[in-house]
Amino acid sequence: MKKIFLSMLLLFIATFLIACQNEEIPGSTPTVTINSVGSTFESEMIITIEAVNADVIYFSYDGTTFSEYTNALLITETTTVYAKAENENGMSDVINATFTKVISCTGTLVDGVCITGQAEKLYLSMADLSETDQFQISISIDDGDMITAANIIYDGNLSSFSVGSSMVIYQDLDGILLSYTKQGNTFIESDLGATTNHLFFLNFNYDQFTYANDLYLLNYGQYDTINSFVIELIPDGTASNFAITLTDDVIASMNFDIQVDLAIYHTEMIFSYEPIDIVVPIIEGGNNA
Amino acid sequence: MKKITLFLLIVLSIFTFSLVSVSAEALFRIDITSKITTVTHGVKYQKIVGSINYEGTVSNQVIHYLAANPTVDDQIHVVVGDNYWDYSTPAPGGWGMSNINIIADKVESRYENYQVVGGVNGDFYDINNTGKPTEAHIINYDIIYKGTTSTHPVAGFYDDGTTIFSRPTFTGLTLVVQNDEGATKGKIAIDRINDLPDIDGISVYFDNWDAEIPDGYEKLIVKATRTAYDDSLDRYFGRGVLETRIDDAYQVEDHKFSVVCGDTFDDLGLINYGDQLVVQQNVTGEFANTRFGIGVWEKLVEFGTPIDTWTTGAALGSRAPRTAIGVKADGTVFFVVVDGRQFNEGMEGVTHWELAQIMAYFEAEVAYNLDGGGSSTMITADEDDSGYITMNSPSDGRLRSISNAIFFVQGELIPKASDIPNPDTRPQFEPPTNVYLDNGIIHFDEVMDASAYYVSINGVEHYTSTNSYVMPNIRGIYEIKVRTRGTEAYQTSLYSDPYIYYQTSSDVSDILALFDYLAQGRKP
Repeated sequence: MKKIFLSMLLLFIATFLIACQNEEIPGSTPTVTINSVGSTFESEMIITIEAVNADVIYFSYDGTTFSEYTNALLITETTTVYAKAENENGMSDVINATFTKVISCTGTLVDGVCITGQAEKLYLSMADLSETDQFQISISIDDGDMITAANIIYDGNLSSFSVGSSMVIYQDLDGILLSYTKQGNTFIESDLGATTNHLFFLNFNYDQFTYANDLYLLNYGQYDTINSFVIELIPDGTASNFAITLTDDVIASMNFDIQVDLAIYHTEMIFSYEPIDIVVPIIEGGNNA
Repeated sequence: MKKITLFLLIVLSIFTFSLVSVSAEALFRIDITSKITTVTHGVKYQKIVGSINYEGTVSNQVIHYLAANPTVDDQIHVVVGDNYWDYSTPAPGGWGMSNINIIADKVESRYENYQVVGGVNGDFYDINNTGKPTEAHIINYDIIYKGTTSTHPVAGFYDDGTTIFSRPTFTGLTLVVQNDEGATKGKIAIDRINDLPDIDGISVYFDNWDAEIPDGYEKLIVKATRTAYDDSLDRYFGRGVLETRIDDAYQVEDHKFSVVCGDTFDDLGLINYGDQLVVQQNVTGEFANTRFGIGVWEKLVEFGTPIDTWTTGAALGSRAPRTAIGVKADGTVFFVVVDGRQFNEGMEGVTHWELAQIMAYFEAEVAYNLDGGGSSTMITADEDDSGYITMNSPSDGRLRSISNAIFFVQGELIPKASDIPNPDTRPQFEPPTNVYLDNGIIHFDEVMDASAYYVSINGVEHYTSTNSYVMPNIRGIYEIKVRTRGTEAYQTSLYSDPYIYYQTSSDVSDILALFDYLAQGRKP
């Protein structure tokens, strides 16, 4: 008997509360709600705003500038919607809800753009290279008569450059670049000043290239990066025919021509990623002693 | 032609009827109209225009004089040159004739350490046929030829700058065994040429033998770098590198010769692969250590006194262009060329008697006549290194093709490699270490007790007496190795570790610098 009475009481209370929601209660400010089918969407979403006991409903996309709400809102990008309502008793609290656009991408999302296929491979390989601290570049310069070979090794804050048996090691020591030039069995240390950033190949973007015949060809009009590097030491030099190849989804080579006056030098940079530790020579009285 | 830059002195003086010299007997004098003197690299050239009066006979002459003292100037040497063919083909026996400028170029190509400063024509020769010289011909210790007449002296030139005039003593054909540096390991007498050896001896077949050497004999096949011979079986020369040993029947191929061993012959380990084998006349006595030698003819001056007692000789009494060599008491070597056969130009030429007087005038202690007539030529290197200047007026109106010539050269002397004992029990030098290249100069550490080194650049060895060497400025990829030259006490070392060097164009150097700059970059 007590259970039946208690159930009746709860039903009454619930019915009362519902009735109170749907009817203006004299002397109270309005309440507002933002309605949608969910909090995420793929292409667009309709947002409605409802209020109880309101004379006017307002909405805003920035929480500062409000407009009167008259029709449902249509959004196509990730958006935060703000709402409030007003009656003669005053203004409701401002509420907000965020609706996130979810892109269905089978590739890689880059700045909201889904890239796939060869462009994605180039993007990922460039990203890998920019995060790699240890790699080598074998360089060949073909002047038509003779091929000159050189080698660069990067090993963290160390690097080396060698041509034949000549070699110089560079060390970034707290922002100061030191060089160690090999002379026979010894090294000569020099202070080259502040370390600089001029790894030109890290400044390329994937969308500067067009894929064709297994090559990523640098688009015409995108040569500022390489040319600004070339002219640092060769004022009359210009680069052309720049192409990148990938092997196993990593950058395998960069090939380009450097033209100086009428002469053209075919230049190839072969990348490899086997770590090689560079040993800094200890020079008595030197910075590294 | 390498650059000769330094003219130390130029003197021009003009005299009109100045009596300059009167010989001791007062039978000879030179009246100088003009005299020009230049000194280049320690070599003095003088041109005298005037007239001579010998025992009352006056003739107009132009006299050219070239002198240097290699006994006091260690950068000046006397070198005999030729441009003979390397092999018997296409020239019979391997001889040949060229003008003196070509011969001078050949000297510079043979000896990278030498630059020709000046020189004159040399021995009399077979002008109508082979071009072979009349007398002995010694080139860098190689006895190329013993000569045909054996009646005239030979001028021999030692490393210390001294000169000898004498008859060499040849004792028969010998096989000289040298290592790859040219150091003599031993000598073996040769029984005969183009015939089988005695049972315990050796013989040598040359490529002019057109039949097979029978099997059953060990044969050392030598790839020749040079051969020279004539129709006498004791006037053969050959130099080459041991290529292989065979027992089968063998016909000597072109540009090779074969050392054939008798049944019981044993070289006792003397001859090894890579050795250089030299077939030449063995020479003893004063000429055993002359680096260069060339035939001369009549003696013109002895003990400072002109000779006038000839009865036979090269057109003794005729006025002709003449060339002569003299040596002064202080060791100065000088050459004289007197122009002739150009009467209207004041170049009448001289007799032997007058030539002897002229050599005495120039203070010769001893002097000899060389080939003359149209062969008489004196050259000096052009000051801008573009070639050679003919100082005299050759009577043919052009440079005649001659057999050989004598030159003053400037440069560092490469000492003769020390003889090697057999067996060789000397300890071996250590290879030089710390090899590197800086600003076009190869550097390495000195090795204790060493006096010289060989710098190998792409397999071609260069001699240096210091611990550095100037790299040739020619584009290419070079493998540089250095070894320590042996001495009487030490064997030559092994090579140092190779040093790889790229000599590039300026553009490629700039591109390399660009990549060097790239290597200096760091990530942002």
